[in-house]
Amino acid sequence: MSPLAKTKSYVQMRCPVCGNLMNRHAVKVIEPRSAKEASRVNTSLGGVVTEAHSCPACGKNAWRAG
Amino acid sequence: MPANKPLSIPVILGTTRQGRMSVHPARFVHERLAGREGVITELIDIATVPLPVDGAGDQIKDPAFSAKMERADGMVLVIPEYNHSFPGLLKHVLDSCLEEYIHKAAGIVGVSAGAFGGARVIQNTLPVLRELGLMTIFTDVYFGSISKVFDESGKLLQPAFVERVDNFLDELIWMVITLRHGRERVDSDTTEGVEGTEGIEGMIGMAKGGAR
Repeated sequence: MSPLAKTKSYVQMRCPVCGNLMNRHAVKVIEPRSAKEASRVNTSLGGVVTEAHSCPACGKNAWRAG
Repeated sequence: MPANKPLSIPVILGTTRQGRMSVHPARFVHERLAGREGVITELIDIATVPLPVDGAGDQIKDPAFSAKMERADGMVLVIPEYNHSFPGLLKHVLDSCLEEYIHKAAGIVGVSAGAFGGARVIQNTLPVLRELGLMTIFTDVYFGSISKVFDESGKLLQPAFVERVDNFLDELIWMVITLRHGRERVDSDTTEGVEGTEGIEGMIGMAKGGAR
């Protein structure tokens, strides 16, 4: 398992459009853009962890905090 | 990838200036792209994106622009070169989104009044797009000496640009298709993946011709 995957127990996201299971295709570390995000900085990785997901059924893209 | 879902590839006109000549290549590229089967596109003029200039990112995000970027599978950026770099307002608009761009393809069309065809603006834009999460292609289009390429009405004066733009779009569409497959099918944890996705073992199996 990759180090990033260990940052969160991975539960597949449900597509908000069609309800299918989505694919998590990216785990991106970004600079915090607000006080809320600053409060959840992963100090080991040096930023806020964000997951990007896409739906293989309808193509919907979505994201959530990692 | 759903076979019946077309590829969404908007064309972004990256300047707000009055009298901008970049509108002609933007319309031309949009027209060539609109003629591709299985592609839906629209011309997004950043002059029409309502953003305040005293904020940034999520705080000022335009919901309509954000939704277009979320739906997009890739994009074409038509960017004039201003003092060797990109228009500040284009950067401002692009910076208003982030997650929307992740693992999507971007192709750049440079425009300049001089002979270099926006080569410098293209080079200066690449690190920005990379940080946003966009995947850039290795083919660009250089509209140099723009007043000799289009007349004031927008008529193309140099037919060679038809083939150049089509070659650029071929590469962009390949990248758009490939990245959409990756977004929808290849898990970010390539060592394991999850059910229904292709981790590294699945990809190796495909490369060896094994059935999945």
